[in-house]
Amino acid sequence: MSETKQVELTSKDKVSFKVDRDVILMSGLVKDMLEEGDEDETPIIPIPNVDSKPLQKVIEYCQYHHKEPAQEIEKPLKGKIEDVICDWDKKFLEIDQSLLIELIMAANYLNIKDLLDLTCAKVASMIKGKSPEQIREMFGIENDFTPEEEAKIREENKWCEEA
Amino acid sequence: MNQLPEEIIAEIFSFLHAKFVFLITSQVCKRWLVVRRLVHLRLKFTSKQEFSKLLLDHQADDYYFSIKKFSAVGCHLTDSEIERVCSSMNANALEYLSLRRNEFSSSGLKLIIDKFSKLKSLDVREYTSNMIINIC
Repeated sequence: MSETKQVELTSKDKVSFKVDRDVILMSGLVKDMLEEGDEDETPIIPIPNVDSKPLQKVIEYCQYHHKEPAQEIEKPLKGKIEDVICDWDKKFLEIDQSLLIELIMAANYLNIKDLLDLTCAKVASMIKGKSPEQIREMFGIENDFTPEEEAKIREENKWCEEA
Repeated sequence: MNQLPEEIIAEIFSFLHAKFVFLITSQVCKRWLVVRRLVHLRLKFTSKQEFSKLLLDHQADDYYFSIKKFSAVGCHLTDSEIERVCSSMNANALEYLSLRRNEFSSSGLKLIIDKFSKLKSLDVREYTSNMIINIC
């Protein structure tokens, strides 16, 4: 009777994770699904949009933060992200860029607001202080403006530069 | 990054300063330029000159579309400038309006109240003209 209730999550690449129900309730999506039909001992919830690697990270995040709620990150970001988050989160964010992006998508899909804030703020922190060219390079974004369009935007933005 | 939906890019931008979003991120690519509209911006002015320049340069375009916080403190704004603020801002987006230490009158204040019915906060303290407010 006293055993903790568990939930089984299956990732896009068909890897299963058993997680305590209390932990994964941080996900708005899972919470809604569990409320719909909750008779099974260990309900199996498919997460068809998320691969096992980011899903593993999401679970890690929930395991820590369901007992230790994250502090809200102030907007606009003051300094670098590392200046405003706890040590656990700092360590958590030591991941490569592609996993970070996958994590954002996962947090969005699973509806975990604090994790979405953390990961989005991390990207904002990476962008901060960079030039458009540096940003494109960092994320492999193609410059699809014509030189004329570029000049027009710069012209439009003039007021802001001087302000 | 290219696969992130626009709402998420907007979410990322919301952690950046408004000026940076205007100046830098809008120049990265076409998609990012569009996303700028989705961001809830905060605009802050500290002089009348700065304020007039913005309104002159950007009449009726999307700059004001999603401004959530607008602050012009000590800018000596008069009724005619208040009228311009009212006609430019999106009343559905604006939530915080701070117009402390300005020079508009009670008719300017009435314009604000009529237009921005969804404001969560309006600050008009320390006005410098003779504002007479009739409370009915």
